[in-house]
Amino acid sequence: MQPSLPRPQLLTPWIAVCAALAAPGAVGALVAQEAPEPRVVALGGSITETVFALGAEGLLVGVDQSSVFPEAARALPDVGYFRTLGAEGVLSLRPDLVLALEGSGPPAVLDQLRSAGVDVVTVPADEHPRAAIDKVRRVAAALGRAAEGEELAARIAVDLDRLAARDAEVGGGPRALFVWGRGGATLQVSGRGTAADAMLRLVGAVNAVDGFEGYKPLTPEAVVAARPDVLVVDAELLERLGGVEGLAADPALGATPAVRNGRVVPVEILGFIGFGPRTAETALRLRSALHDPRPSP
Amino acid sequence: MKAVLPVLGAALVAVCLVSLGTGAVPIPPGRIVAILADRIGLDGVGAFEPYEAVTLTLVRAPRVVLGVLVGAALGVAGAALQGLFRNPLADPGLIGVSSGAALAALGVTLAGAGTLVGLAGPAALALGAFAGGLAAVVVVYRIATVDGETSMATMLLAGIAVNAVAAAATGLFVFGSDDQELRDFLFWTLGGLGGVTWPSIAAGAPLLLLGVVPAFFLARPLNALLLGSAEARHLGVDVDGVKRAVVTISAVTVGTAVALAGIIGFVGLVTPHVVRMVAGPDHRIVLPGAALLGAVLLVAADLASRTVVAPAELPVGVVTALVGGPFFLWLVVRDRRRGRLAGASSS
Amino acid sequence: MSPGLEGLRGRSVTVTAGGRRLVDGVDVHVQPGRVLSVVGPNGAGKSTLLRALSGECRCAGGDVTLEGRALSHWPLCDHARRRGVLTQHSSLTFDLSVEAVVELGRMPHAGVSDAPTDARVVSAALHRAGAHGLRGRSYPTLSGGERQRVHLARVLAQIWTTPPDGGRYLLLDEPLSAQDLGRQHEIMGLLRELAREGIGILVVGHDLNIAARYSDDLLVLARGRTVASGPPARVLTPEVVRAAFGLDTLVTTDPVGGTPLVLVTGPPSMTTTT
Repeated sequence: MQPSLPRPQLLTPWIAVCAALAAPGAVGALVAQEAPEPRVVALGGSITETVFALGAEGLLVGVDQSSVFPEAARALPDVGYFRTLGAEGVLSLRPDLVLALEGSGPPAVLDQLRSAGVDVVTVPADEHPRAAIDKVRRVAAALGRAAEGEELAARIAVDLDRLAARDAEVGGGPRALFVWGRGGATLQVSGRGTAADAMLRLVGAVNAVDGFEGYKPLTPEAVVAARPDVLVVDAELLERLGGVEGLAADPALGATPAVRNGRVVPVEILGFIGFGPRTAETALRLRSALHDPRPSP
Repeated sequence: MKAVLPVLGAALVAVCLVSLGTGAVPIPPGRIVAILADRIGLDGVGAFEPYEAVTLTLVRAPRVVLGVLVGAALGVAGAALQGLFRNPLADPGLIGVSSGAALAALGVTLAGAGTLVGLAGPAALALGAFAGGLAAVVVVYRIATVDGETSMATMLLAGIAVNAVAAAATGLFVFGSDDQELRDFLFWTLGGLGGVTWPSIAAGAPLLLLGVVPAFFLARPLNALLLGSAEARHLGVDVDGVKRAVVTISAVTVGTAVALAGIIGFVGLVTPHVVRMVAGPDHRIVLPGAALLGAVLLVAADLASRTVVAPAELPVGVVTALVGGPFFLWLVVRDRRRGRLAGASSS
Repeated sequence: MSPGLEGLRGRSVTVTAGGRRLVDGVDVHVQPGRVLSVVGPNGAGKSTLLRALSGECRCAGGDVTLEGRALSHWPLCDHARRRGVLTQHSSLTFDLSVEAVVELGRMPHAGVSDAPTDARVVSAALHRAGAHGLRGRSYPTLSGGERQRVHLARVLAQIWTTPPDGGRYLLLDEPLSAQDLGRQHEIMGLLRELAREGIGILVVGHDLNIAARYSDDLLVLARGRTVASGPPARVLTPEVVRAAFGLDTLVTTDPVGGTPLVLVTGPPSMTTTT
């Protein structure tokens, strides 16, 4: 079939050429070509994770750079960082559907994908635990797997409810510090209003650095002053720093109750603050680690 | 050596055609012809898939056009500034345009509580970058101008200071950013032609042309300035007028270029240099030559950036710096070996 | 000769920098058809005076007029078509050809002159400046003296034709500084010739005897002030030279041209004791 494209309207002589080339393509004609199995590109680590959790990974023809979980996702073609995409790279994978975490872009690229007849579904990136449920439902709906989606969403909801119930029992949890990066002597930590803050509160801990909003580098002295009972550390970072022994060797970290008592909890960062299908499960695990301290050495 | 210009013109046409015909989505030449024929109203030249048409006309073509415009603008701004400063190492970055534009863009982004690429109004980002570049240059120019006389040496020093302050302010912004914002900013500073649309080109092109075209009328005064400011004035050149014109032109072009494509290094520095090496320092050739070569380089760099790691993309600034840096070093070393002032002479 | 023209005139020209008076109340008159030499010790203000007359630096006091009109009231190109300035140092380091450098002198004539005319003038100017043999060379490869002659050719090309409504003027800052003995006399001879063609010439120099032989007038400066001015025969006396340079001299008559000839009788250390 030869698609016939609408004739351009000449606005002014100057943009005549632009207009000629920019005339919107015959999108309608394209969407009609219905394949039984849509080819899907997932943008955003939690989206990819959700697709896998729904058992729809077979549909994936590409993911973005931040899709690092599960391991199988890393083997898929990589279209680059999800916030600085190039349209042609995505189009070369011939997707029918792009599942984009809110913030994917630039917006113009998403528009270009839509012009090429790709169905672009944007999923909100709200940073609170219940957002995971919404995310699962939306992804499932876009993939036409509403039933599986409801099942998964229900499982997450049950876990979250369990957390909430336990929260009611326990008051005044441990002071926890989430560490996600280290540059020189300073640690990158998360203050009030961050995704990590929400997770810590969810598991009944007190954010040890709730004196400021957002993300800040913390000086060694401030680390000591924060008196964390527990360190929650990005697992990859912990490995790079030489494990708990490595932390103990650091004068500031070594002086914190958390490290002295060996209470360091590694978390897979996407599972911890991605607010995807593993959120509730991660929170439950974290919770038991926080509230059932290992015996001090 | 006027043959340089036709050669560069031919090279530009060639690189544009290659760039249009190459990319992650394979489109055979026959289909490209069919798509273009369809767009100008000829039916039945050949069949093609709609997604191929979109890729060609909405994705690739705007990038090529933007590459030509921004490359030419950066080349001309570099050539004019090098002529003005009588220093072959001058660069738009030197007098604070790029850093001022970058800082303002970052400010706009954070003020909008959005993120760099996902900003609600890309126009706000563009306007901010343009205003920031212009503001930086005005500050530098004001500091360097006493009693209507502009000292080039003071201007360079002021440029260094403005760059330092802008970098520090940028650092302050970055200080409170999270991982994702940092990445956004970093990517943005590395430049890229992706995500450009015809409307944004239609908005930016007049500004770029407004900067590039008048520059060609400055060729003779810039030639006279090669002798020195005093000599140029004795030859009847309105030296301060030329300084103002060059500075304004570079602010307009580089600010707009930064707004449309982020910070793209080395094009402004290297292209005038290369043209001068081949054709001598006559600005009647250096200015258009740098425009053409800048366009060739940027279109080629963009082609590389979107094909080398496809389906992902390299930031185009990484490509230009990766190619431009070593090439420039080679030039400097070569000239030193021959016992010449780097860039001031040619074969 | 162009009698009746007002010439380039500075009245009690004063130039200050950093609180110092570099030129202090100097009267100077560059007349069409005459060669005026400005001499004096280092730091006397000779080059500063030239810069004030060329409009390059502003006067803190006094005024400079070209043919009765203040310099600032001249349109730039109009001014440039009738007044050439040869400065001491050009910062040109770019690889221009000799012809391209001289062609820059034709800039003020853009739109008035055409390319063939310019090419003809460039060639003729190179000839007159004794730089014809340098054609085709690249400027950075030239010696200091050669560069000086190329720039001389450039300013000649700049004022090659007489404007319909006035005279032509040349201001030259030490044009002999890098020239050998033969070239020095060649260039001064050229300046005399140009003066005969009606050009008003001011030349800053160091050699009193060369200045005396080729100039119509001398202006002797010291510490920014005029020590003496007038025809060489009247100005060059042992008293004036002593006042300006602190040297004891014998002034006699040049047997060749009949102009004054200054002979130093002893080094400065001896002059203070006698």
